[in-house]
Amino acid sequence: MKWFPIVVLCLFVGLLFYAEKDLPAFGDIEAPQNTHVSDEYIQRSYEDTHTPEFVTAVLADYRGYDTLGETSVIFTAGVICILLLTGNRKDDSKV
Amino acid sequence: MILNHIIVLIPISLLVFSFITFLLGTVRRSLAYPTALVGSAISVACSVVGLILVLQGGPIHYYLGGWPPPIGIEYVLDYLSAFMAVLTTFIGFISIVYSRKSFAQELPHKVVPLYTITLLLLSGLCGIIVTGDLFNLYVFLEIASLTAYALLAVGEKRAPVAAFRYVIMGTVGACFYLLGVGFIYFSTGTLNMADAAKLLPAIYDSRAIIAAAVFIVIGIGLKMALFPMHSWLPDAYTYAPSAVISLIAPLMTKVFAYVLIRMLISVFLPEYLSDVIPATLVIGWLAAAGIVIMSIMAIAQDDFRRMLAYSSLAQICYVALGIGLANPLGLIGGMLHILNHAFMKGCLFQVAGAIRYRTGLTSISKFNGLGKKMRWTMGSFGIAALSMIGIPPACGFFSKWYLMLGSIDAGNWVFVGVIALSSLLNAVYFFKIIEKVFFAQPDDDIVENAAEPPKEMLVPIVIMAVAIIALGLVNVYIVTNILEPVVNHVFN
Amino acid sequence: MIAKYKNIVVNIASRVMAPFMMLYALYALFHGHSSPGGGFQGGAIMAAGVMLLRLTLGKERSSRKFPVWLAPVIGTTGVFIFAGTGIVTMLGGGNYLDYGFLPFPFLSPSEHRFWGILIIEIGVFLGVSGIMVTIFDCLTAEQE
Repeated sequence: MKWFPIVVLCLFVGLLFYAEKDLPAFGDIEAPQNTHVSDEYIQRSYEDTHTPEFVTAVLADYRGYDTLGETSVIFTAGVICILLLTGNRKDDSKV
Repeated sequence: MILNHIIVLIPISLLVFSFITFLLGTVRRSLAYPTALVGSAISVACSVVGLILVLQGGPIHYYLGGWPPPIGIEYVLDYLSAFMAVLTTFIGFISIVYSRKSFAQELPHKVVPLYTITLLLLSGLCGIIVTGDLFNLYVFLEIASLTAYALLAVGEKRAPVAAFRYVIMGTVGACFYLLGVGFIYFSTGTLNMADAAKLLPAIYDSRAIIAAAVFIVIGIGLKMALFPMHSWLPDAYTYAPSAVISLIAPLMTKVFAYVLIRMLISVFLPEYLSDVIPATLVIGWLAAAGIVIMSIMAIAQDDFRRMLAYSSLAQICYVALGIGLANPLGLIGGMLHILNHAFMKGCLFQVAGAIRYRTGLTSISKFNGLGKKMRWTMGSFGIAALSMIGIPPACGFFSKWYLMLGSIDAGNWVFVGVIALSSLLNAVYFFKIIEKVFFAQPDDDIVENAAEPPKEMLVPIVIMAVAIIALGLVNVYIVTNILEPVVNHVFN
Repeated sequence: MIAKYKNIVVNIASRVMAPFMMLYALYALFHGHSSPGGGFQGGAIMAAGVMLLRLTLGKERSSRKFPVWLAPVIGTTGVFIFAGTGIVTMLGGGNYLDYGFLPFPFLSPSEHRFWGILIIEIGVFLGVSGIMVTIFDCLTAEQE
């Protein structure tokens, strides 16, 4: 069954090459990803948030809820390490 | 005033209470369980109020951060998501009540991180259910997946190896989903589901969208354990702790089946996935093959939990069959089966946990005569088994009935035969256990000394069994008021 | 248990470097508004400063300054500040995480968003640094 992963990988790469034809060119100024919503972020971020850096404004204000989700993913990883990697001791100490 | 914010309180109450549980738990270990119970109860109340508001007034939209879509993130509570939110939070609450004695026996030193991670898992699942934004769904999918991997890894024997296999396959699935979302973003410039549904019909012939649909279906299929991509599930479900598996088995794969339904009806409209590319056809036939093969494999198992794991695989293929039919009756059957199966499997896995708590037994060949010693537990098992086989008035019959009507509607008689055959196969493996449990003599000392599980484990089992019958009796109400508006909105 | 590193050059140099690393972490946090940076980057550098001391001074000595039980508490408090800011904005009348409704009396709405972003970046900073030190401590905990 060693050929099975190779076949799956070739299909995956083939699908990516197949889709490449209709993706917009790199750095295209008229591409939908650069005109639909990103344009509004760049235009409106200083007057909305008084922050010169619009990457931080998008990350923390317009899409702040995703940042909360990502921070709780980090918190989850910490609690999982506590769950799986401790508790081997016989005493009752914290962590 | 709170009523305006009820939709965001469903995942956020669970998230904030997980932090409070962790902080209070490091101070004093015995405070972890009550805090988790309170947080879970608040989320049940919020989701029930949300369902009542949606039934009275129609779908609710909520703009996080005050920014309207597509600039900001949007939460949508329509009939389907309110229904799934009530189901998820209710089963979460019942499982936390059930888990106290079980964790005390199996994992006493790790109670604080266990309850924290349980609340985080429920928060992730609720976040997946109520969101209307593609990338936000991925963020909460990550939270739910990580916590599930961890909870399944603290079992016995081969649990870490099984959980590691789940990690690899689940991460690949999530990556494929993200790749599909990325292609949608490149082609349309937006991450909002409703906005993408408006912009996609103009570019139906784009190859990137075909690739996006394929990636998303494969990714969600991996996480949902659709037939060829199911190999992580039997081992992971067999070796997990009892309270953990009675939380994860009814919920995890069903929430990802909900994601597939959401992709079908709100992002890629059904005409795309059934007419332009034959995605639903492939899903339907894989599901039909999966139902038969998994039911046959379940008959051959001796370990009770492994048999239930293969049975779960067959049941999630029922839901996938409903999605694959892509007509109104089939979708109603699939969505109703999500509800019914959650209660049936929840009850069955809780019974397995109760047997293990009292006797330590897990293999079916030693279950002789348990019905005389554990009357209420085995009575609930009997009700759940009859419902799985499909005998009215228990709820399992009605979802299979709708699936059969949907298959007849689509003119697909092979699917009708598959559903009927699988009911027979279910009957084989459940009657085998019923005969051993109720009609054989106890021949083992352990069984002689068995007793009913403690009340904290028995009451959830009985509640689930009563709910199975109650859901069967009120299923007409559920279908007309909650599920039919969903399909009418899509197929009008 | 990590023992004290035996080379005196490493010992003295890390004791000089660690406070500057922590100060640079605070710089990266507070200048996230005007230059690349913010909570995640600052938190990682802060955790690196603490981990440097743990590695070179030995766990026993550095736990006197930064105890093992403190790291998860700081991590949880950081994420709690973030989620709590959202709840404060709900109580102030807006939607969740709508910084325009924070209860500061004499600022314009865009200034409200400026301070809101700063508060949640502090929350992310505490969360990331605390959790990174927690993971490090769990990986290097003593086995019995």
